[in-house]
Amino acid sequence: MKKFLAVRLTKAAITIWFIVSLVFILTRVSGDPTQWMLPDDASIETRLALRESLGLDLPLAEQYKNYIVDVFHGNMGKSYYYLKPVGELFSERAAATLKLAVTSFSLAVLIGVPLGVMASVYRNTLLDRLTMGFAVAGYTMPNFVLGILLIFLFSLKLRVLPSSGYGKPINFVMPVLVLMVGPLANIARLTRSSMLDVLKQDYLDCTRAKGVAEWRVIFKHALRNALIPVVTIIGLQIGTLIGGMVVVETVFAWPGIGSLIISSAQNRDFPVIQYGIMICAIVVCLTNMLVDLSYALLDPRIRDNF
Amino acid sequence: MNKRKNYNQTIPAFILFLMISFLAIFIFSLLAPVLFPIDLGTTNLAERLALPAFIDKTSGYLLGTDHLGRDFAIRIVYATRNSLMIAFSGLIIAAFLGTCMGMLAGMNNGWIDSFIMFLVDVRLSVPSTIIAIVCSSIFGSSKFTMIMIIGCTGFASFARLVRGQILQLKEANFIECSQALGASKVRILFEHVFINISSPLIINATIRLSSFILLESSLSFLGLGIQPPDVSLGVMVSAGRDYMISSWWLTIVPSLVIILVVLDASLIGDWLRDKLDPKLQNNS
Amino acid sequence: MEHKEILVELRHLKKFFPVNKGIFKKTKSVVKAVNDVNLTIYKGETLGLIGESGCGKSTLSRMIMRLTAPTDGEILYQNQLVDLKHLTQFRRKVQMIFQDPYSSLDPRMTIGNIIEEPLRIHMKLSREEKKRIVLPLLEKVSIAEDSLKKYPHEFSGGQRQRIGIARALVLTPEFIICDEPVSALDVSVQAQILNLFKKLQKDYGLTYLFVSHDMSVIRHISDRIAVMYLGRIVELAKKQELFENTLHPYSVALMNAIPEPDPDIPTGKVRLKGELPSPIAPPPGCSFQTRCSKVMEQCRIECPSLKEVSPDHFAACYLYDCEG
Repeated sequence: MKKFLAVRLTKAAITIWFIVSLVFILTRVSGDPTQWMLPDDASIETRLALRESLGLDLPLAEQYKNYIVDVFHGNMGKSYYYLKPVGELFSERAAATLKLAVTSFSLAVLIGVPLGVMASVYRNTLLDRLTMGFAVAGYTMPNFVLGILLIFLFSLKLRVLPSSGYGKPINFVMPVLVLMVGPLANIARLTRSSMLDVLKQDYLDCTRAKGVAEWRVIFKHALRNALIPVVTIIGLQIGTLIGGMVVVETVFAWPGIGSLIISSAQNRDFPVIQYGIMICAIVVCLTNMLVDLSYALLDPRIRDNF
Repeated sequence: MNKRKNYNQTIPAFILFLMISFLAIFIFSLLAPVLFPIDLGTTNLAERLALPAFIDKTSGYLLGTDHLGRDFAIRIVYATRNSLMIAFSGLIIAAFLGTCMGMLAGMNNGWIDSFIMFLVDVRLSVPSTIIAIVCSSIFGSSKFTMIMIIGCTGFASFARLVRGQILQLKEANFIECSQALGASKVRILFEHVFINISSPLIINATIRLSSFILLESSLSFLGLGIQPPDVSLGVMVSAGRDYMISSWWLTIVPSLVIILVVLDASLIGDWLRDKLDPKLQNNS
Repeated sequence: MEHKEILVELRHLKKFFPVNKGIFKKTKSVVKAVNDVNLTIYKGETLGLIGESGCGKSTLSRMIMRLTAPTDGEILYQNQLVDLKHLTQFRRKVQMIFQDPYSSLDPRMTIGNIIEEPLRIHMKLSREEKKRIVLPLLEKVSIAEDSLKKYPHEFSGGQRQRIGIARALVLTPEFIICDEPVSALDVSVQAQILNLFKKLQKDYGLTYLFVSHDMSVIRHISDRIAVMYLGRIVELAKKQELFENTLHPYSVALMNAIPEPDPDIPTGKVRLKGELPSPIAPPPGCSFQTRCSKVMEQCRIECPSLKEVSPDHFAACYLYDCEG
């Protein structure tokens, strides 16, 4: 078990280091960031002074070394645009994003899994077809389009929900709805197909023959065995969620990390972008590791391999 | 690759309808410069925000005009064309890149395989939207960068797919048979390998197309994709936002077009995948 | 003794597979799949090669076809060394028929294309010329003429195997290696295919190396039989001689395992005891010692070599090693 963890952690660390380094090199090599930071008529001396103060005049290898050392000390640099430490910028806005993320994700799982189970149990009935129809709509619908349509309907025409803002529970309704639709659809679909595979198995008939109640058969016996692909897809939805977060925060003017990344991209605020990508990579890698570890919990065959 | 059921040659009417409508939209929008040769940049402020024909029967514009007085219907057609062309071009690059990587990985076990799979893992560690945002920030936003971004981020599913197929083929006897008959490696590649991987490849391409269209639209919506005077569906949705109260069609119509196109491609892809092998897992 | 023409000669053929362990893939040990095999195959005969799964017979046939390279030893065909230089010529004269009819045909090619493949590889012929070769072959293997445009999945296992045979015959080879060609087929179909093999041998003057784990199949088709155990040939004799006068204890056990349909004839009570030794670290001496009922001290020291015990009957066993 320890060996497995060590190997995975090393792999994750290498992946994250690779991504961060790649972004670092690309940002330094693709052009001069100070170009966009100063007005066009700024003098050459001002530009050079700015470059020097940001450490951009040093050779690339030295800049890289300094950067890595800084990262290990927790110093993520200063935003070119806000002139604040990057870490501070992120932590200010982290709460808003986390609240949105946790709510959407939990709802997606808590609604998606039971929905998929029901659809599989009542397969080919109206419930099944409706659910799967919504699921298809869910994962093909572009999230910004859904956001715009919801704003149009509920904010402009019906005037029941605010189109932007943060703080009150009512502000959460539309953003959460938009963000959770994609993951929910995927989770429901896959739970259904995974359950269908499991429900075919003979050992369930055996359980029924023993006199176990049907709902117990479904939830205690069938679902447990169907869970491995389901857990996998739940893990994969983290990526979808992060990607969707950026768009949703922009559409609803949500003061979170997503909108920060977008505005930093527009402003070419590279320190912020670098840190943002690092966070994404860390979250995704950690999620994958958790998913792999959960296999050991769920499947005794895998447990024995440890 | 083993016993197959009979090929079911009939295509359900609904899917046929989807395929034809998609093709129609595609061809029609492609012909935009021929059918409606206008300069996208010219504005006509006197006619700004005219009403579409389905609201005001006297309007000379089918879908009204936008905030700069430009014929909206024509812009929609151009926008669809751009969105589709970017997505397709990106798809071709992604498919080519991914297939080459997958073949290299599948045929050479060892560090080449490990390295290529490492690259795939790296790519999948960051959501494609984020990658696209960062790339447009670094390299600027234009049609070309969008195509390159799609091409260089879309390779992952193709690489994994092709590698898996190659590994399966390696186990299959008929490749060995051809070797025993004296076939050269090149011949085996073209006569046997390509034909056998083409089906899953096409299915994956169709499924990925819809996500590429989505990626481009999202990015253009965020202002990081296509820049004016070029137009794409995402750009139009974003531009119309400010006028939603008075001229709602400026946002809603391009939104509906995006939904239509993405749904169309997606459903065709799903049907293709279910038809071939319902157990084929979606690997990205 | 007839002086028959030697077609294939195997000299000291060895195939060792390294067993890789550890992160750095260090070679810790080897699996000796084929361990010093010497065989001669005469023109026009069917040499049956029998042994249980894992004894190395498939590896041996693959080595002869040069699908895997031998670790050591030589293969001679018509007295010429088979190496990379002469490989193309070799492939025109020597063909192989594979075990699994389901995976040996490309599911995406039509039957016509599959059978024509050797022609495409080695010759430049027009469509009509190709058809002229293929159609009579189809008839010979009893496959309908209109099958040319059909796909493999439309045929049964037996039919697919016959298509594979047609493909092997298209270049009129002299020597065919049959690697368990009937093992994946139903018993009723097996008989048909075996009879087809016999007929084709007569019509085309073919030489066969017939590999199988099924003694009844081997008995039906072979002229001479070689018995293989853990990478070595332990007995080699003409069919009649082997059945009347079985020498090696392993061969005896194999004979006794053949189901006898007549309930009045008593079956031999030779049961193999003991375990199959690990192919990675076999004990020194005879590879059969762990299961042999007649094992002696000598057997544990050195491995016996294949010696001629009676005319044309070879055995690798100390029971028959007459010293002096």
